[in-house]
Amino acid sequence: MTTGQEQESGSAGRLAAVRGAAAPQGFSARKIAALLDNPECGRRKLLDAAGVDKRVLADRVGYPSLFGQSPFAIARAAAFAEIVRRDGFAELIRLLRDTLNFSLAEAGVADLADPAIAAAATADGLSAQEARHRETVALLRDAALGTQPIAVFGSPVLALSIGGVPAYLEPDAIVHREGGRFTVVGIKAFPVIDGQAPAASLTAAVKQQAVYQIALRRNLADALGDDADSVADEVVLVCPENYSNRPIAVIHNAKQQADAIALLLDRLGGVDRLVADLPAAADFDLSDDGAGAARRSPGELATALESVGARYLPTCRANCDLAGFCRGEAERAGSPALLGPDVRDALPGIMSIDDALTLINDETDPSPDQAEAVAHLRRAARLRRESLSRTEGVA
Amino acid sequence: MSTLQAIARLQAYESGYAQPITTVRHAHIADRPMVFIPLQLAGQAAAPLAAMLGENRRRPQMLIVERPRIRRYRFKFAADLAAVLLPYFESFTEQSFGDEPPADAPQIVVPNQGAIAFTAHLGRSTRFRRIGVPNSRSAAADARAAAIAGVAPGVPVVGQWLTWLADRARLPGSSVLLAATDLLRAHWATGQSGYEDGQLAALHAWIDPPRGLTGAEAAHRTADPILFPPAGPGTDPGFDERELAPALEACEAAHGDPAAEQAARKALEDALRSQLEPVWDQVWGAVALLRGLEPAAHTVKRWEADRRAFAEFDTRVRAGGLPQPRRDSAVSSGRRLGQYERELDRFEAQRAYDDPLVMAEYRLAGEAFAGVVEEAEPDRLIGEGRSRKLRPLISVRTSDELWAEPGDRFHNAANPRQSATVVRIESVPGAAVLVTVELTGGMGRGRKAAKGTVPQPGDAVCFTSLALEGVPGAAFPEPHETPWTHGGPPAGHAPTEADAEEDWD
Amino acid sequence: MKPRTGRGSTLTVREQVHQALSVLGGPAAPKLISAVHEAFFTGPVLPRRMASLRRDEERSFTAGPYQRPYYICAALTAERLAPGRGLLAVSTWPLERRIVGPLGPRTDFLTAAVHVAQQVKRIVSCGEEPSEPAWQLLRRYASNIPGATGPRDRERPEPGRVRRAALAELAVHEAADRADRDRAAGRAREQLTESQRLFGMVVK
Repeated sequence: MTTGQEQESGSAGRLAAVRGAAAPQGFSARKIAALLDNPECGRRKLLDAAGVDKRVLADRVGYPSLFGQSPFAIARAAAFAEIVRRDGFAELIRLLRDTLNFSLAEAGVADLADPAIAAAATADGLSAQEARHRETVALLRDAALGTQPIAVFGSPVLALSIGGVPAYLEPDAIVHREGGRFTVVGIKAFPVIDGQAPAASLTAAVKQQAVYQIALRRNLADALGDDADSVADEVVLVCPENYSNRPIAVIHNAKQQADAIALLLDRLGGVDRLVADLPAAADFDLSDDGAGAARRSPGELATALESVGARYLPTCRANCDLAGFCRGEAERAGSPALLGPDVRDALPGIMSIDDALTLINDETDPSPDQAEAVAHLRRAARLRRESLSRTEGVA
Repeated sequence: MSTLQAIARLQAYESGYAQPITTVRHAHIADRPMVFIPLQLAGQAAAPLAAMLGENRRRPQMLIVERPRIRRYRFKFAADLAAVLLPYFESFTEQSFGDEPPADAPQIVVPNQGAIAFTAHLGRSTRFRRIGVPNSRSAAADARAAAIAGVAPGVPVVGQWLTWLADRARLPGSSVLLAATDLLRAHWATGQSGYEDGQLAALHAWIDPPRGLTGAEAAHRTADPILFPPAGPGTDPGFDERELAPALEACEAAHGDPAAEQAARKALEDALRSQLEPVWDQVWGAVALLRGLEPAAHTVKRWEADRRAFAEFDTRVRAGGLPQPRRDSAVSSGRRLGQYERELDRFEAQRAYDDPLVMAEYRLAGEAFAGVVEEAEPDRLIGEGRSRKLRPLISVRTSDELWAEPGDRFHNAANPRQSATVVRIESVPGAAVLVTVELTGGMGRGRKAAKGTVPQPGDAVCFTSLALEGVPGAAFPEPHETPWTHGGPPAGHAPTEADAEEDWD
Repeated sequence: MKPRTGRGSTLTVREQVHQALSVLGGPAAPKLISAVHEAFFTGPVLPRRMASLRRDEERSFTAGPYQRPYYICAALTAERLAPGRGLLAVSTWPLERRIVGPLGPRTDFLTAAVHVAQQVKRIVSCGEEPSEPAWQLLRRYASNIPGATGPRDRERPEPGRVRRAALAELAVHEAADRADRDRAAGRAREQLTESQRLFGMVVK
């Protein structure tokens, strides 16, 4: 990764300038998975890559994020994770024995969240995450080579380059069979009821684990040379069973998701270009000048935001802090995106709802490339008019 | 979403008000529906927190769970729910005579699909419970259950009913358990996205804004979760943090001190009522909006099927039938899927036949055409002697884009038993075509067509390739004939001890 | 939940922790210590109250070594001889027992299972009824050790069976685990000061 890292540090430096003096926000697998829900959104890509706190930014530009997680959901997730982790991952070890045929002897545990790891390495000038990553890779390597009998790696730290920006990711656990494969494990508090997990939660969880899977494959390849077979395509999700607190394992093949994400990650480059295209005066510095005054006014931040193209989707409201701002922008522009991707797709090449309406109402002529779509829309409008008036006549 | 609905959304956006996408109502709205709004504790699948329910809009009943993490209180909620729902169900069985379906059936209206899923969870977590005795045979679990003093008699029964409702809600066209958001979206298009239509407050605002506001303005206001709490079953995270968490903590702290308990309970109830009341009004508002629409012709038939299904299940419950199994066997799930698919086809076809605006979707897709009859040969006969048959010809001028060729069979939308085989299609001036079809059936028994059964020149007609009676699905074997490849005949499901003892933490 | 800490107990937090650790016979995290105290003594110990215990003990030891019969000290990670995350131990135990290598969490869990089972058995053989938290704790061990329960005793595992199952799995790990502990303890004796041997090596 040496040459890659040098290149990255160049763009990372420029990205740091975009973020200004505020503390960076790390990438997480959830963020990456969400990024991939809308991979064409340059705005989100740039802000995430630069580590800008989008929540604070949204607040500053007057569209406070409405997201929040209930304290009950947070507490429930923490309590369940604690059940899986306590007693040296005893519950997880039981599940590994039952579902992945781990032998009795395969019960070694490494805790990569141990603060001593970070403490020892900060002496070497590494950040806590770099230190934990270094330790993770060393232990994974030992396990792969069979020199350390570790079956469960708790809270490991993996590294993944996202559009040229290095990010550190923390899966819940990675497990390893002696002489066998590594498997990514996610601990999730949604229940599996009579063998069935709620589809949306399951999909999101698998996608998240697939991001870790890719990072794990790449880290192992860097440490050991290419050995794609050393990571299982399956991921393990540990969830509460039915309405109880007892953990149960669900094994899910994540190959399809991992392939899709790897492909998208490779294409995700272009953050460099986004940075280069940013006007010289624009940045997203959310820090204050030390005397309590913000370095950038809300107007300056909004202008900077507008200089990076976004791709608003109504579903952004479920997964991006900035969705309110982008929606406002789409509203001012009367963008068809406001009505959802289905309507937008029904209006190919038509940039605003007003344009669509004048075209449909025969008030303007379509361009040649719009002609076919507009003819279809006009037929639909005629049928709608006709069917509505027919019933009015009857009634 | 179809192009027609995209047009409706554009028009809604332009006008600021939701636009109809049907001309009639395709769901049955019962005379005595019950509105049910459940709330759950965030992060747990089946931890009830509260519910507002009732048949009378002016007199909502409220159930709350002051200690939602403790199972005894969850069972108490289930018992309270049973005390409201079971008498409601029983009020319909009293009208049942012999083989006739009952005159009416229960209808539960909830805010959204989340509430339907929660109904299923509640059913699943209560229907296996055993009543009167602690839910376990081991001394340790009995000790745990000692404080529970058994599960009230209504709990497993209401569990079976909730399961029945949630199962039947998946059947297209059924109206025993309806989600307000589904009802509204099936009949109106808003000027926002489908994703946002999932929020009942915004959806309802687009359709029926308060006086002085456009739908768009009213919907805009609903973005504030304090004024417009989410319709459940999940509560607003901000509410959880600011109000619910302290209120529940107060209930815990007050435990054991009756006066303090009562005060804490009251405070919790007030907090939860603030979340439920706006939703209560929106759901009843949705019911009123739907009631204001003319019912589609086939809703009567579909409701009759619901009434029969209700009576059947009621008989089964009264006979002390076993609760529904945790999981379907391979055959019954295959049978059910097949049934759902057939019902979906049937429902879609009925909607189109009942509603020109729905039929317009098929016209746009080239699967139907409408126009005016130009020529008619009503008395045309073909064949010789005894096999001479009445086969009228009519020519219809239509400007619809038709995907058809001679020999294709259509049906008369106004007379579904009459089929029409395309004879020829000719282009005529004015971007239209003249379709000549030969008619079969739906004309009475005689050599001459019964009066009014053959369209006359000047009549507006519509023909569609969509058949009203769907093609029968693949036949599934009866359960006792299940082939060994599918596990052989399923063992009759009997709930086990484990089912009854299951944790509900 | 209402705080019921120390209800009816006149012991200090360090004494309560000592009681619980003595039952477990190996290093443990505050939550487990609390659960054990609730199961066999006088209610839970709030983990919050244990937070500063290790530091207080270290200060006391530094001020005057071995003034007390025992100190609540740290478990040491085999790799770095650093204090194991959140783990508490008793100073009078052999150093080897306070070392946590890769298999340490598992063997400590199994050792605790053996001791908890013995404790439950002792109560039963005195003709008394173990508390519900005690059964709960025993279930927590039994359900995660192969062969520790049968289909009929999930709610109230048979202590003898839990003990036998835990010992059987311990035998599988013993050699490898012992080697880790011996090696690390040897290094600790060579490299660490007395105080570091109890409270671990901390890189500052």
